[in-house]
Amino acid sequence: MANEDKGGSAAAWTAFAGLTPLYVFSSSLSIGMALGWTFLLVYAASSALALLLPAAMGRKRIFIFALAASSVACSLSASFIRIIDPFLFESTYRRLFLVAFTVPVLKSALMPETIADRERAWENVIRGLGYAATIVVFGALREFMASGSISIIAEHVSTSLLPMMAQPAGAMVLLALSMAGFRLALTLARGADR
Amino acid sequence: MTDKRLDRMVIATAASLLLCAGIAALASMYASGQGARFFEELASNAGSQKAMPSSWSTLRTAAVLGRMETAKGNHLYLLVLRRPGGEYRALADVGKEGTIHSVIPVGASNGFVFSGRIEALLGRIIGQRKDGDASPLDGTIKPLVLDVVETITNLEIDRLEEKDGK
Repeated sequence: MANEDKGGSAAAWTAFAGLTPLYVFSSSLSIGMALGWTFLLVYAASSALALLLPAAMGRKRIFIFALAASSVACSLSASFIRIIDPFLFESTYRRLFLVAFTVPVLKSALMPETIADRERAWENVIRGLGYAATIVVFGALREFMASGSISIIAEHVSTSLLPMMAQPAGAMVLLALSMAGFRLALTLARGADR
Repeated sequence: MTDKRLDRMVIATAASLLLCAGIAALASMYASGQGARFFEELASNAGSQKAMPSSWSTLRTAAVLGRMETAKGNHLYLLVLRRPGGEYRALADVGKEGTIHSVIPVGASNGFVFSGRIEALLGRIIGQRKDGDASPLDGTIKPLVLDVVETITNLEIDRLEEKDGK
């Protein structure tokens, strides 16, 4: 049980590390939503294909097809964002296509090895939603800490609270703080179990 | 599963993915058209001259996002000046002879500390503002503002040369 816990938290750390480029770029709620939505779509496309294609096709072929599907999903998401807000597209399009090659997406493109893994594949849905939510929350938090407002509630605000939080350094600081908080919460939860 | 059936399955999957890629390409073309229309409407609503329909061309050169033509023959350049922490958007109205007549702000990111100073510096460089106010922030953004003016100048030179060549 303890080993399983360790494995789970190690996977979470790997996912966090793999998502760092997206956290760094998610400097506002709108950018966070664009990246989060794209991530969710790409992750869903790649894990669905990895799960639904027959195992007889072979791991390599399934991986390549899943990656191709995630790239197509990424392109569709970029078009959707361009229709909704062309300015948002112009500031995010260089990073949007990075989403298809983040560690969690690459990992989800791998075919589940055992039947037990296949049966637990629905967990990917929750995982994908969770990762996407963290990207959105990260963007909202950074925007709030940088400007004292969030774009959905207040538009064109020119106040500033902690401008550093909108910069890449701010993302690293917030990431370090949230990881420390996460670790503390895990330690406390384990302590409570004993 | 027989080899033949497997091959057929691989071909079917590849064909479906190709079809999806085709749909994505069409969606991208549609989105590009919608984006162009959005920028033309933005220019028309910004209080400057109306942009001619279908005159938008994407440039993405330094801070210049694209260009539109007005009915009077002027050109409107859409500028997006980015710094870590946000962006400032404006339209530069450039005359037939290549002079920047005015800069009209069209928005900025929330809490972008440089937006006011970029507006002031741009206005001063093109002669729209005469006040001599200064800020410690100016030093960091002056190269960005000078670069955008230089980019517009180069783009206008290219455009006029292309026009004369025709």
